[in-house]
Amino acid sequence: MADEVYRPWLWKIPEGGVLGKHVKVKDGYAKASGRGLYTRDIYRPGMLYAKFVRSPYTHAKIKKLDTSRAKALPGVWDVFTYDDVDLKSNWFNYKFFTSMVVGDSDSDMKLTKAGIDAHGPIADAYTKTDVANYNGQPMGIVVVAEGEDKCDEALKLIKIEWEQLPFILDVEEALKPDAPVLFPELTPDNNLRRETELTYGNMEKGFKEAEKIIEFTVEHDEMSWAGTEAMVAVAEWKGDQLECWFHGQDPKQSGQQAIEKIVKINKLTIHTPLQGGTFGGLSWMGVPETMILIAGIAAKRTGRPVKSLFDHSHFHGFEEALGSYRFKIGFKRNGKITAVNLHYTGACLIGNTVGKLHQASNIPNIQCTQSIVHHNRGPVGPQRAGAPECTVVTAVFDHVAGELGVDPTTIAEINDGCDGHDMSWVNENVKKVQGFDPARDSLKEVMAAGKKAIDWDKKWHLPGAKRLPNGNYHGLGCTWVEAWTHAWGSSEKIGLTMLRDGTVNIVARGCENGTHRPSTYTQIVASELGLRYDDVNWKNNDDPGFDVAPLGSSSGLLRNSPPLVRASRKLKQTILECAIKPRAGFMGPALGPLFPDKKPEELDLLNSEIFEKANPANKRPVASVAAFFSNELFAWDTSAINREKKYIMGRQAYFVEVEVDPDTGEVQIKNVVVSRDCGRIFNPDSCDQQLYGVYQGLGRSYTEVVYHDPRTGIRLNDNLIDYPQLTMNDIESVEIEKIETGLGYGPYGMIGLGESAACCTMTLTGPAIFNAIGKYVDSYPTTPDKILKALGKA
Amino acid sequence: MAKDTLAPGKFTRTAAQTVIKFVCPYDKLEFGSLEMLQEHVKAVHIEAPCAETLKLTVNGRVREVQVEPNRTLWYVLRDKLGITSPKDMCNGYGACGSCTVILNGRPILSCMTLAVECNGATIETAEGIADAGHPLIEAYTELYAMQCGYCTPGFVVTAKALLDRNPRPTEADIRDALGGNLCKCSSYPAHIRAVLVAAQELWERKTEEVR
Repeated sequence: MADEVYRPWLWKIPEGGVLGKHVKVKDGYAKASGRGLYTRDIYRPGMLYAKFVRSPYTHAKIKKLDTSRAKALPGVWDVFTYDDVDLKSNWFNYKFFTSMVVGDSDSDMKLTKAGIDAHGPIADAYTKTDVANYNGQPMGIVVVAEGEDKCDEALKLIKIEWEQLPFILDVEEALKPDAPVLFPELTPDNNLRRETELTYGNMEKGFKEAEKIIEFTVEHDEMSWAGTEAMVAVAEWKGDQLECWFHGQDPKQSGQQAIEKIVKINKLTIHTPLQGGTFGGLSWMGVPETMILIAGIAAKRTGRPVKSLFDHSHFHGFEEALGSYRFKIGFKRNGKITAVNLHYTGACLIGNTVGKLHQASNIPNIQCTQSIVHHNRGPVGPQRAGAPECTVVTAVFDHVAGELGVDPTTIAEINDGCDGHDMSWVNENVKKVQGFDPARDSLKEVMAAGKKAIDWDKKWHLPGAKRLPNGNYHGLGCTWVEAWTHAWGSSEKIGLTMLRDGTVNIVARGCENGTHRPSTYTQIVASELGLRYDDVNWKNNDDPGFDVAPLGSSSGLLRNSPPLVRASRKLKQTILECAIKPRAGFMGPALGPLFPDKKPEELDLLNSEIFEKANPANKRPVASVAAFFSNELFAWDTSAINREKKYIMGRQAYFVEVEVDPDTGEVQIKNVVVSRDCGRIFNPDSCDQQLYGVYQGLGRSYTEVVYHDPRTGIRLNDNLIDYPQLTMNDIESVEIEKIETGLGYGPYGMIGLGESAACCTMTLTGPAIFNAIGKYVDSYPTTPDKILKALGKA
Repeated sequence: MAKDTLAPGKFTRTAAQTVIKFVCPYDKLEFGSLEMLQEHVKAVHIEAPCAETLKLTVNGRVREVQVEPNRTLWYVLRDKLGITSPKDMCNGYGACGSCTVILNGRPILSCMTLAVECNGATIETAEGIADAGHPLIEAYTELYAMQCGYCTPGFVVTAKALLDRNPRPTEADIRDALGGNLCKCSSYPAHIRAVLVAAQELWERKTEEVR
């Protein structure tokens, strides 16, 4: 499909519209006033609550289970377990729909009878029905009662005799020969769940060509979602029709796929209220699916609406970047990297941890081997997708520059490229061929803008070379990564309907979890149609069959903006055709066309008015067409996949300035500069909001870690008092530079940016600390104790 | 026939009449009045909590509710009064600020406040602040001081309390006041701008009034 309809980057933004401009947040009042409802806020008349038994142990098997006292408690309507026929016959296999990178491909998640698959959605791991594989695991033992308190009371009455089993938390320990085997039914002899290898080029040749070779290890500890709307779902049957309220990113593939086991899709309504912090892989761990399925089953069994819910679900699951990254890098004295070898041991399930290094460099020889292990930490997923890959990119470039004793930004351009090709090759064979501007160089532009904003050239110094008057070390860190957009999933149909008053509704279902989709999608449609921003709305249609592509943060804009544009253009054509048609009279004579003796191509739309191009004073409100022809004014489209090979030509760079206290090891984050190629900006404020994700990323880089008791494995700080997230006072200033090169594959050259800041800054304190104290702290988070140890003070 | 279950009494509502019963939640015995029920609970279920009647003025409306002494204000606002703006991100640890309301002029964490301590109090929530036309709402909406919005009402309430006591805050004042509100989506920088803009708008309104 190489024609222009399916090459959205060649499209031109209509003039005079609202795309790229500041507009008000569409659902701003709802959010700011507190009147917007989240799934947790849904209360139905006569509603019951469903809660789960949670494992108090890290690895244990249920030997005896007695629910009789819970069942007998007044106010308890039902107690059912994994042995119950309703659960046994309705658990489903959730397929993760596609992989995003070369190399590792998709695999199945099996939702287990014990509640939640302990290892996340991209897994072929099973857990036993009666086995808990992590502390806090929701078991397949569900209480349904009047009120949360009653559920809690009933859960305490359930008698369980547990047999504690050996557990493993450390991913390296999991591979030792004497390690207890955690899943003998899957891997009878060891804990190696998956081993992969991916090689680009010729490693032997690459290391032979190197003038220097370095080896080092980077480690990530456990970080969690913490601080989001805890997991919940509501279900209510009306005869054989089921109405649900879903908490997750993806009502279609996630919610529907689970609930269609117990109801036909055309009898199902899934509402997607506002979503509290539903980003990343929370939607991939089987949690939203389990909640909606349990709510649906419980509602059917009791004949009442049911709200199923977790406490502490924000600590259910951890960031997939956990593990150890062993690097061997070969490079020349001018900074040109000739070979990168990485062995990753850990929990990462996404697949190709060297994907971003390969996609956004000219490094010809890259090899990645991965040992993915079984463990007892719990479900794993991307808190923001892309973190392991960003860890790799930052580590490689910073260590090469450090070894050479040079400013890291000086080795950026020499290694820039795509899929192992130099940028000159990309200019000739990609940009020119696919219709991009070969004169635009994203890396050059983002580096220049970012360095200027933080005054890099003036402030950078050799590692350990600068002490401030207050005695602190001063440090500057930098990383640069491809500006990527995911392209997962596909939409169903996205419709646009113009109503009798000339306003338009976007007919589609999708979640709004903070990426301001209602605002941005409205801007696209209003701009393409030539309507005022306020004349387009997205009320979030709740019927299956009209769905935007899922994963609102990662891939929503790239997948949904092309069908929105195409549908808008179809609708606009229909409007202009109606403008020249005779109007039917209503209880009166027929009326002539609004624009007699004109052709559609002689007309246009702007500010909700149709006008004659040759004589703009000849204009009518679009409502005057809609009043007569609204029955014809509907268009739809769907996200179609263009199979052309795509290269990631956009770049982003992050800069941080810190002070390190040599006595306490404390790091003060003074300034952060984000320099991001957005390709083409649709909503500048929404872009800024996503790029403020540096707080999230730097929190994971510096402070956030989940501690486990080494003897029992239980989590010690799974609460927001003891799990230290960054507050507004933890970064002094954040500056954002947005660049538009048009080098993205989205409409008008757009590059989406839902994941960027939180992933790219996840290991940014490391380079800054190295520049400050002259020693690497390659263990994340880079907490003060580790800095003191590097300084030889602990 | 609508049917609501509210502890400890059981309410049955019909089109023609409302029947109120006072039923012991522990042994289901019925009594003729709340006072008789309370005496029974004290006498028979000595250690069990019994409901009290509280009078709260919430967003300008006087509300009477019956709550057990172990209930938080957060629970009462949401489950009894249907005011859903106070949220919970920290499971009642008092760590996130998303449950903040203004109690007798002070911002407090409703998840850490017992409802029975609030008898006779005046409470403002984000809904009331919006209904009163406070410029914070417009500023937040205009300046994109939100992403998913889950923490936003808590920020708005805390900011309103700040502007009530300090109409011309500096950036440092704002950071100090809002430092206890967590935002996982990281919308932080926009909040500072929004509060400054709202403060300016309030100041201009006041100046206009004086003229």
